[in-house]
Amino acid sequence: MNGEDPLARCYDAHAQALFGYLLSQTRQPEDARDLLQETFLRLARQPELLAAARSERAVLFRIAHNLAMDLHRRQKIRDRLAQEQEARDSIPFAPAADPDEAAFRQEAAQALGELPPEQRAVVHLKLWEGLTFEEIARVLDLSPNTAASRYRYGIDKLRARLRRWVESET
Amino acid sequence: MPPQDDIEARLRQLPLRAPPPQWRDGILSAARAASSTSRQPGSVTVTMTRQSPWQAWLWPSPRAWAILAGCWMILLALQFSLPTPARPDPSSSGVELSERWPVWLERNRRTAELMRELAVPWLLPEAPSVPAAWPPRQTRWDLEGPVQPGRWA
Repeated sequence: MNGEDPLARCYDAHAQALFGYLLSQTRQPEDARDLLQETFLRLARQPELLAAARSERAVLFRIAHNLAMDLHRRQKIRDRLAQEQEARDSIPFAPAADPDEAAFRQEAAQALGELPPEQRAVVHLKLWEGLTFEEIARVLDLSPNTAASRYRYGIDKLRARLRRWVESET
Repeated sequence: MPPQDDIEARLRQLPLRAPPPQWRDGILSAARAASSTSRQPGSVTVTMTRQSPWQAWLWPSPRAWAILAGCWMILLALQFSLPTPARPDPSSSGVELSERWPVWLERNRRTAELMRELAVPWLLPEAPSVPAAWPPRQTRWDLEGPVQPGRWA
């Protein structure tokens, strides 16, 4: 949309992926919106963050992840039941016209939301960003082995929860 | 790690939800405002520079590597700038104390003689005042007086 403005270029290139990740982490669109804006505010204040980086997207995900973790820490004192109620309306996936597909996405979002945040982060970056465990480890500041084990635990839970969707197809 | 199964493949195909388009202008204007408060207007340069092989090798902690290199440079500079300490004479290391003792005594005696020649009396130890000749033992007893009977009783 805007080839001149580097911020706009960054937004157009990464906003959707970041929003999906933040929505997956926060499960509340308004929180995801606030964190998305804060991510770009930090980038605007410190554009040199990208100058020394290998991957523009990895830096943005790292900023977004740290912001999401800060929000998680703050939210621990909030009423969890209210969060769960709001989370039912928050699906990080695009809406689908097909009712079956929409139901699958709804349940997949719920299953994803029930994962612990650290497993959810790894699963999201692996499945929808296609990062390697080494890249995930750099983004989330942990070891590749930890990233791999968190992914394994997370995907096992998703598989158990969504098994009927796969079995019904076969 | 198990091979990718159907559920992974199906989840991977799910498209992520896009942020509402009306957010774009709000977020970008807020980011530009934040940028202008911390920097000169128009100075925001988000550039993707191609890293040199050295940068890639030192990533992700070039600062730590630079500090380590600086410490090594300081240590090397100190090593070459400070005088080397005098080493002990290896020839004297194996000499026994009994062999060195007469040498030390002789040196001491020469020093005393030299000081005496230079007439530095306050540095010399006081010589005991010995009489030219001791009187006979009986005379000495007499000088002290006769022993009284029952004195030690």
